[in-house]
Amino acid sequence: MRTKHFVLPLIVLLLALTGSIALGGVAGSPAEVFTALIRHDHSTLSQVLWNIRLPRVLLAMLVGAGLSLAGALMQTMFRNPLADPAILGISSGSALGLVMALLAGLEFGSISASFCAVLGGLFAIAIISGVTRRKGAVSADTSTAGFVLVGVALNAFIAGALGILLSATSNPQARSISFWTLGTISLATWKGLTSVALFFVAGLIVISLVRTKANLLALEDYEIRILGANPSKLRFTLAIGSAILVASATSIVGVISFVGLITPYAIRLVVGPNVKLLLPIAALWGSILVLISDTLARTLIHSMEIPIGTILALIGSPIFVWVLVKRVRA
Amino acid sequence: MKTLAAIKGATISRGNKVLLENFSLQLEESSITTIIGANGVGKTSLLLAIAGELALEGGSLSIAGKNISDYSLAELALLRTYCPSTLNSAFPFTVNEFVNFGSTPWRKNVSVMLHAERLARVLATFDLVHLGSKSVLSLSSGEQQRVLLAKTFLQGARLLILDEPTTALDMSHQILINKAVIAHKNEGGTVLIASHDQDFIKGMGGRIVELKG
Repeated sequence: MRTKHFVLPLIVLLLALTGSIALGGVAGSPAEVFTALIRHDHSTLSQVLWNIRLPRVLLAMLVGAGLSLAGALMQTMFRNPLADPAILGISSGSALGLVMALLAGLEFGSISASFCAVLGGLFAIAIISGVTRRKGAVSADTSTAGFVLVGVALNAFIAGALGILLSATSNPQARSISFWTLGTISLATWKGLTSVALFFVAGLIVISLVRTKANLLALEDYEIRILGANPSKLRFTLAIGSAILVASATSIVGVISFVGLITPYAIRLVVGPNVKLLLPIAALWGSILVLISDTLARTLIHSMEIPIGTILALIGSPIFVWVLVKRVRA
Repeated sequence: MKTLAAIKGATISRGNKVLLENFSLQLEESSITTIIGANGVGKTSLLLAIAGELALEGGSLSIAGKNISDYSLAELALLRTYCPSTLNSAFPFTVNEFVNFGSTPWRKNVSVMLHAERLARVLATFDLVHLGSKSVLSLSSGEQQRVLLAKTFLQGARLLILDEPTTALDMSHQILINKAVIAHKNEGGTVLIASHDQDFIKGMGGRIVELKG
């Protein structure tokens, strides 16, 4: 029963990974690509594969998994299936944190810069939790559409602040990444990948502190306390975990929307809301979605890169509608 | 008889409205107490206060000989539980998953087998076995009420606090609740119920306390 949900995404991921490594401006027959990968020599194909394509493919997978997990966690923690790091402004908060770190002289792709991205994301979560807090109540009523609108406003505000910072600065490092706020995986390097992987693992460790107790957040706060768990602590831990995951992605690839919303939403319709199954399956499909989108982004038009956000919207929205319609008819 | 929980000289209010003043109540081991009274008189607030989920303004609350503030949330979860009258869930968990929330306080301390056995028993007690894999949000209100009760009983706390447990139940299922409550009492447990349901109250026996506005 459980394994059946894993088999399909694992097969699809393997196929997508193979195709993604083989496809690109510099290509060859499957056999040539395979030997170039194994030999790791000075041939152009081998150099491109090892220095550009492999880190990029791995980065796309990690980013997809991380954003998808962060979306699933935020939906769980805010009791709202429409919560998403990009919509609520958490990704922008992360980006703002990173840009400020770069302006302060930290290096792009460094761990300290990524750490500032975590702080930026947490700052955005703190604002949205604070603003939506009900008067006199212990916790915010985050299950409403109004909550999502507050997030939309916050996102617009932070994006504005980010825009002003980027256009006002003369810092070359910050200026060169201004296009990055639209989201791109093209800046992949092994060094950046290492930083992303480190933060990804850190995020997983934080989530593992809560594990299936996260499911309790579907209940009212007093019902959670009756069961002996502390809802504020659960939410706080999930906030830290998801901020780390968002920052891990955002600090190298910028703000990528859609993945954090549609993947967990669609997967929840199929496997149910239990985080035990939802989190790993959503992570797998999230990494497939971003991997395929990024491969299309760099190969669809010869010698030109399409923004990955465009591709994600084109692939993601029909899948999303298809799952919704299928669900409604069943 | 030994006292399990006692509230003394308590003032209980909701918002700015004082509902109960200088209110005292003792709950013995192996006993059933039913709170009756008109709507809005403060039954639910009293129940939540005794569960430790509504702060008292004056007075004290003790459970098993200690002041409530001396317990951690985890310790309290093994001593008392509260069953609301309506089911809330932000996501469509299955009946099995939702009922299993009740195992949170002790899940880590028992074997997988014992855990599964307890879960199976409580699902059978409340006639939920055939609904196990259905979403709790797709159930009728009577089925949802049984799910809440099953979760509450699975928690295994000594003091059961049940808020209007039979409002949505038909006769045959009321008898199930009645049996489960009396079984809990006979095992030495304490039950505190708020109810309007005359037949249910009569069938239960025990003490009746009327709240007046």
